[in-house]
Amino acid sequence: MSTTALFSSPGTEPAAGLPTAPCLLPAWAARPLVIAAEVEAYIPQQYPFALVDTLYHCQPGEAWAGLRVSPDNLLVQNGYLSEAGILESMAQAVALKAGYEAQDQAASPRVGFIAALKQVHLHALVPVGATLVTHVRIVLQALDVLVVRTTSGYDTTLVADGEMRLFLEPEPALDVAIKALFHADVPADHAHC
Amino acid sequence: MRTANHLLLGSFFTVATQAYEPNRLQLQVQINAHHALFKGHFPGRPVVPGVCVLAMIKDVLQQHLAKDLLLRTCTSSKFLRPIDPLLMPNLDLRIDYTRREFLLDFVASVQHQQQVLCRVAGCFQTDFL
Repeated sequence: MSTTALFSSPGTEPAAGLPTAPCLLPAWAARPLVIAAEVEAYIPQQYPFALVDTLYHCQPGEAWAGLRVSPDNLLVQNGYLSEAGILESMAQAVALKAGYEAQDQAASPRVGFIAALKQVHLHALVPVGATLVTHVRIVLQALDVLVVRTTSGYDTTLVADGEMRLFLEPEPALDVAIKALFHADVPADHAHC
Repeated sequence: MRTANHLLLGSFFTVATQAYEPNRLQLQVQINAHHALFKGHFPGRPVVPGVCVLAMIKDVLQQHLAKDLLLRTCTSSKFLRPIDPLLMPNLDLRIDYTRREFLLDFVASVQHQQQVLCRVAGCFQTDFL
């Protein structure tokens, strides 16, 4: 089976003589908040398993992140980013949003694990060279659980959508605060350092 | 054995023992804790990424059925505990699957010494244009 048969939508190259398709990213994408060179300061995952490289836009409750698929990526196979890579990119988009917000509030980012995937549908694979853009929408944020809906795509192609549940590691500072609440012998000012 | 179409089989994990029943696969796999991806996930603290469990299931089924597969849906998957490849290099992988037209539904679980680490259900596409 050829690799193109995996992929049911037409190729990304426009036919000769036709104008190139317009870029569908909004204007704010021209000035990303986090670029590839500094992304590892915001997420716990590091090279070679960092599967997100740009944070385009971030606002309370939603964010847009991107990954330019390079040919030497660990999860690239036969010229396409594999399904595992697409799902991991979706998860790390959430981590990048959380890391950026934590940095904004001068807190250290918390390590998050994928706890569950629910009704995740994959529609296409991403070819090397394309930029996979993931939109993250927070459905529910509890103390240590995060429920998000993510949608990913490149150019005009929908790649994946689904719901993801992430477990966040308890914050060390929060532990101290809880101990301060329940044990009077811990000095109260300790809770704020 | 065709290895060209495997993303992780052979490098990230190897199959130690396997047992087949109709529509069921039971394997013991060995995770390579020195694989390059553990340098990044996470530095100094290796954890098997949840998506790599899905990729492992795909590789194992591809090899067993001698067919190319494409993950189309992950109906539900629960990763109950982080999998540390240093503490638990041997994992028991159990995959139940059923053919449904051009799809392959599967339910899989990963265990380490009777302790369930994750459960995954979804479907693969088996036939392509």
